[in-house]
Amino acid sequence: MIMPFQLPDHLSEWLERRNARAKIEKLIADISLLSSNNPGGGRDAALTSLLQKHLKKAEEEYESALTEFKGDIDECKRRTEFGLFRLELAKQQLHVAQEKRFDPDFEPNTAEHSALELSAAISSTKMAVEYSNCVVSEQIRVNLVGVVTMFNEAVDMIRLQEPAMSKRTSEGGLLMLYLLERQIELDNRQSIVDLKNIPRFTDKVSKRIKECVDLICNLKEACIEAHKPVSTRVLKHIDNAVENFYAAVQAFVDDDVAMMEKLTVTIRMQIQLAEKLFRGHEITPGTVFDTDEDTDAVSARVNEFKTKILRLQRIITNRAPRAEVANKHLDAALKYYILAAAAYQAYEFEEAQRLSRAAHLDLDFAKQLLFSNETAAYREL
Amino acid sequence: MAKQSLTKNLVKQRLATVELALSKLDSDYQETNYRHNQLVAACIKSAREELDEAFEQLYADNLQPAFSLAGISWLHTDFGRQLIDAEAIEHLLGESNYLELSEIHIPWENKAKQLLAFLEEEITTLRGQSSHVSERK
Repeated sequence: MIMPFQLPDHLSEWLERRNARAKIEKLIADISLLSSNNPGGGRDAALTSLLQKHLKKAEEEYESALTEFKGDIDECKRRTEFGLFRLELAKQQLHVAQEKRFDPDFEPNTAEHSALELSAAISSTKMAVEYSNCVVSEQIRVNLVGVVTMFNEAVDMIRLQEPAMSKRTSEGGLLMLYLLERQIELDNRQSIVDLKNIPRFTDKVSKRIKECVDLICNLKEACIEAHKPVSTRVLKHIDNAVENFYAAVQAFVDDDVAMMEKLTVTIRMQIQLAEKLFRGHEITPGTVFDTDEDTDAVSARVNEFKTKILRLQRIITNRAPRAEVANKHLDAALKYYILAAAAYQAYEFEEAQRLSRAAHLDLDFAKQLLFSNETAAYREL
Repeated sequence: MAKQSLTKNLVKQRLATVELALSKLDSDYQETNYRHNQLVAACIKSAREELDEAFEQLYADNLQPAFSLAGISWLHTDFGRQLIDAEAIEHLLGESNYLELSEIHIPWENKAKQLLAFLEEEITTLRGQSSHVSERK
C-alpha cells in the first residue's frame, strides 16, 4: 500500500513491527497446519522425509525470526520469508505427489528437449540390450559410454548458455546411438524391436549422416549374409567409412558443414567401392575409384590425425603445467603433417619426408614438455 | 515452458517438482541393494549441485538462472530415474545382466600418452612410406 504522506518514525516502525509479527504468526500457523497434515502414514518415505526437512527448516527460521524481532527487524522479515518459502515448497510437493506430475514440461525444439530425447534413447537402448540378453562387445560398450559423455556435454552446454551447440551435441549422440544399435543387431544376428528408439531426424544435415549409417550397415549385413569369406580390402573400406562417420558426427557437432559434406561424400564413395569389390566387380589399378580411394585414405588419415591432436589439446589444457607451449608445438606438428600428406599425394616424396620429420620433431617436443622434467629440446629422430 | 513471463511462483513450482523427484530417486538408490550403479550416483550428485545453485539464484531473485538450473537438475534426475528403473526391471526378471554405462576413470596422463603414441606412429608410417618410395626412385 502506498502511504499518502510520510509517517513519523516511531509510527512507521510500529507499523513495520506489526506487519512482521503478522507474518511470523502466519508462519507458525502454517507450520502447525502442515505438521498436523504430515503424519507420514500412507506416503512414500522420500516425500515424508522431504516434508519433514522443510518443516524443520521452517521452524528454525521461525525461531530466528522471533529472536531478530526484538532487534534487527529486516533480518526478522528475511527469516520469516525463508520460512514461508520452505512451507510453500512443501505444499507444492504434496500437490505434485498427489497429481503424480513430475515433468517440468520442456518445449519442443529447445536444447533441454533434445537432451531429454538423447537420455531417453540411451536408457531405452540399455533396457533393450538387457532384456534381450544381447552380446555387446567392449568396443561398442565404450562407444555407448561415449554417447553418455555426449549427453553430459549437451547438458553442460545448456549451463554455459550455448543452446545451439547443445542441441547439435544431443543430435550427434543420437546419430552415434543409431550406428551402435544397428551394430548390436548385426553382431547378434537379430532384429531387436526395442532398439528402434531413435526419434526421426528433422535436420537435413543429420539426415544425410543417418543415410550413411544405413549404407554402411546394409553392406555389413550383406557381408554377414553372404556366407563366404569377405576380402580384407572390403572390410578395410567399411572400417574407414565407419571412422569417417565418427569424424562426420564430430564435424556436425562443431557446425563444420563443409567438413561434414566432404566426409559424407567420402563415406558414400568408400561404401560404393567396397560394394563393388564385394559383388566381385573387377577394379583395375589406376581407375577413377582406385585414385579416389588413395586420396580418400590419405584424407581420412589427415582427418583422424587432426581429430586426435584436437582431443589431445582438450585433454592437456588446464591440466598439464606446460600445456600452453605444448599446444603450440602440437599445432606445428599438425601443420607439418598436413603439408607432408599433401606432398605425398603430389608424389613429392622428398618434401613429404622433410615435412613429416618436422612434424615428428614438434610432436616429440610437445611430448617432452608434457612428460619430462628436463628442458625440452629438438632431438634427432 | 510455454512462452509466458517467468514468475517467482513458476520457478518455485519447478524447484519443488525437481526436488521431490530427486529426493525420490536418491531414496530409491539408497534402498537398492542388488546393484549400485555409479552412473546413477553421478546423476544424483550432479542434480543436487545444480539444484543447490538454483536455490541460491532464487534467493538472490535471479529467476531465469534459477529456472534454467532447475531444468538442468531435472535432466540429470530424469536420466538417473530411467537407469534405476531399467535395472530394477532387469533385477525383477531375475537376469541381472546389466549393461555398464559408467565412464571408467582414466587419468588424463594415460589418455594423453595413448593419443601421443597414435600420432607418433602415424607420422612414422608417413615418414616410412615417403622414404621407401623416395629410395625406390
